Amino acid sequence: MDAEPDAQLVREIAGNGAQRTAAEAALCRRFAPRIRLYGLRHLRDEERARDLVQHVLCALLLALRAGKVAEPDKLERYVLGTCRNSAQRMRAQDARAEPLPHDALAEIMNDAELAAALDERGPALAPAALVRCYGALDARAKQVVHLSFQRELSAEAIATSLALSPGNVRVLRHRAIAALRRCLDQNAEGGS
Amino acid sequence: MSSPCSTPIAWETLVAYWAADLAEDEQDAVEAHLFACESCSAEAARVAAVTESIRHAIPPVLSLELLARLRARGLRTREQPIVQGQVNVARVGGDVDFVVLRLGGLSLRDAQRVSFEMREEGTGRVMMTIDDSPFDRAGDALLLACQAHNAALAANVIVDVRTHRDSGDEAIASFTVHHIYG
Repeated sequence: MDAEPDAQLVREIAGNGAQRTAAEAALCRRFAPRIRLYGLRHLRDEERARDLVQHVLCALLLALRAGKVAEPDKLERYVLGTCRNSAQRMRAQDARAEPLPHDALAEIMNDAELAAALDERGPALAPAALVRCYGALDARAKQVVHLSFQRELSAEAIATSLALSPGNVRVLRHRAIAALRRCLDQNAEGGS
Repeated sequence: MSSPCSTPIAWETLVAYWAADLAEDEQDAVEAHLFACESCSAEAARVAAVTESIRHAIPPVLSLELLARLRARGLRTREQPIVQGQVNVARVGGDVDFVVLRLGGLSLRDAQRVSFEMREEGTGRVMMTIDDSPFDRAGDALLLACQAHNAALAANVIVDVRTHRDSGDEAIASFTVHHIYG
């Protein structure tokens, strides 16, 4: 079921046959990580991102059961659109997602199954490993990473601060993140 | 395992996405692709694991506002004064979430900018530089945050704090800190 295309899963759900529950669970497993990433990017908070996941999946299931998704072969656009609207409301109200009349998601997967779907990308980074790897960057790379992701400055502002061009800043930034990623992968393989 | 993507999003674009450094139409295109592509979504998650960990980490130097927010969130902290001209021993244990090392005795009332450099004692290897650091102007101090996982770094460090004034003058103050973890 996990290998079925989205449109096939949508048809299984709308048809309300024996495979409906399995199809719904497969779609939830498929989209939960993507919704979480969208939430992290736009809400900048893990808890609110998970809130967004539950809200959007619930809304999706209700819409699919009611046959309201007009283009099953473009399901990802429907999910993305729902994410945008929900995240916008959460940001505007600085609040959690508004509750839906029916918790369809709870019928499909329990909290542990949802957590498993969201954690498929691997374990959380160990802080000590991140500190070690960050410490191995050269001074300029550390500055760019710190200013980009902790001070949240634009490439243009960082460029002015460090007497570089914005293009240079972007190159330094993505190379530093690549170096951190490689270092963390090596740490993980080494079991440290 | 997902199938490889025939038009994968470039690494530098994913990093720019997480840095909120893409034009709106580019960002929309990236998101549309991520929702349709499992392998690129997995790669985006690998980038996010790094960028978001950095974003949410307690930075090495704190502003008073950030310190207040962290305390308001319930994080346990302890402050330790750090003075020039002596070896300061900073104990970092499990009793708190982070220790605030207050590098004091500075003259910051007319400071335009404060920069600092931390280096390993002995080797002189530069561990960190910040050109425009937050500082406590009224308290004439710089606030360093020290957490247990910093044990991965050199324990004995020298911190040089440079105060840049409107007049063009600069003043340098040096602090020696020996960390004991656990």
